Amino acid sequence: MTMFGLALRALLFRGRTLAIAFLPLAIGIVAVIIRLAADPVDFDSAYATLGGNLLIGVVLSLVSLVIGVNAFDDEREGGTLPLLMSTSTPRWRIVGAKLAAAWITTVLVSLPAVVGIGVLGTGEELDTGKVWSSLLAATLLTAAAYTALFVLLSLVSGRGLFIGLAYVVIWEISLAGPVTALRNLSVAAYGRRVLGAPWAEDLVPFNIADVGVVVGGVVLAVAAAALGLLAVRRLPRIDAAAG
Amino acid sequence: MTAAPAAPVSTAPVVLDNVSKWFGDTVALSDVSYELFPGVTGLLGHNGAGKSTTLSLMAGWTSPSQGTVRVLGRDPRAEPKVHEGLGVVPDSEGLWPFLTARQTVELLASQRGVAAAGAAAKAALERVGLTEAADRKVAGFSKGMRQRVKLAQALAHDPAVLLLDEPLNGLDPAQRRADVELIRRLGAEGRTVLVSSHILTEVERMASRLLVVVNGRLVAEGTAEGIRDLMTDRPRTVRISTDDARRLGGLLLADGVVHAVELEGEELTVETAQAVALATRLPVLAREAGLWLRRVEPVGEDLESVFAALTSAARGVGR
Repeated sequence: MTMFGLALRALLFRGRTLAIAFLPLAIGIVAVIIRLAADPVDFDSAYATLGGNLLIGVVLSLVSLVIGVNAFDDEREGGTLPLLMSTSTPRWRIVGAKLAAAWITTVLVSLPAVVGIGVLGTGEELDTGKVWSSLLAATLLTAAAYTALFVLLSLVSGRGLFIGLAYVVIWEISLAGPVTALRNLSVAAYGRRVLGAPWAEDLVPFNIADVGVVVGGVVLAVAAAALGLLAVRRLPRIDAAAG
Repeated sequence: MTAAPAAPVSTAPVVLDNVSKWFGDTVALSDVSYELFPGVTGLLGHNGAGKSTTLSLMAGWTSPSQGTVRVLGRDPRAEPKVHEGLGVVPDSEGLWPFLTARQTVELLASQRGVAAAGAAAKAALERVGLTEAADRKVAGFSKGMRQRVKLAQALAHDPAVLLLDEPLNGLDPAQRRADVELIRRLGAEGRTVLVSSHILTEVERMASRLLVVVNGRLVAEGTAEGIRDLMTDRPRTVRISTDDARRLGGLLLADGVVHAVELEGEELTVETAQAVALATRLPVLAREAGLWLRRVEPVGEDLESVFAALTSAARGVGR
């Protein structure tokens, strides 16, 4: 077993991961029900609400939070962090394994919502290929940025879950999304920018960062890489023996 | 102009040089210096004395607030490679519950640079007596079995230095005996082994050298006998069997070498703060009075009582 295999197994089968999985599952089911039962004229607003607001703004942030923070919190709480730090494995590889495992787990757990919303999106007049590609790109990039942020948070504070929840609710959902001036400081706003690719820029039906689609994607990728590097620098400095 | 001679570089596998560690206002370890050499060294101290902090510093899990730690010539905090020659049994019970004992030991051996990690894991599990349970998930293991998995993972990469934090916790008496013997053998093989414990009788059976930590300070260092010798001036109780206990008790009190006497038939129990003076004066007084000394034996000379006295003497020091 590799360090990545250990990290993935530890995250995939945790009770908290299974508990948070109900959120994207429920949203995916709702999206499919709307696709099957609603009038096609409602698809546009339903896709905007479920994709732009719920998937990018709420689901990915909360799923990434629970999984990203657990990446190191579980080791700390379970008393296995000292064992992990008693290996000669370079610390960047441990962080890299944790980041990759948290990112993949976040995407897998969010997949029911992504698929359901994608099915809903293909019911409207948008280009099907663009709907799926923008949805997948937005999911992968937003999850990467959020995951890196919350993995770093778990290395900085023992109260990562509470701090992260406050960040998501206060900043991402309440302030940076609705307030135009703060939008370029929100992870979700860049994610929505990528998700909004099928529409003309002035017709995107949700709040987006004030940049182009490609720049929005690059910002998320760079943010994920930078936060990951900070996590790599942070791991050797933590007190592995502290409970 | 001639250059100042360089300070001699210690060849000891583990070196702590003026190491202190504090958490906020709490001093966990205060200005501790010592070197560990091949063989088993016992690290004694009550809970909270600073034993686990010492091991954490050596394992590189935490940084010293002051001073330097070197293990096999490296800084264990900055150089993870040191773990290829260092095995650690942490105090925490943590193991990944979804892994089997074999997977756990194999994983950690491979992460410490062992090429044939499977074979190394098999040998280590056999050495700690866990062969039969090797393929069971550790989630169902007793505390003692978990302790053995932790010991196996510390041995699998054949390290030169072993740090064992309370390794006998949770073991039944038979397992304790087996592990005491195993740790002695590890020391005899030329490894540098540090075993922390608060159970002195066990440490005495394993370790040729002892370090006593009280309130974050190293208060005694040496062999068990040497540590007892450090305590010559502490109050001691001595039981004396003679043909006239009442008379000998009176003579000792009059001489001033004892401050309390208790009679029990032909036996006399005396308390003294001057053990050396008593040892000198007792035969003289008995000979002058024409008394036979049948038996003279100290009471409470086990290491436990010595440790209690050291702890008491150091109370209030540090924290």
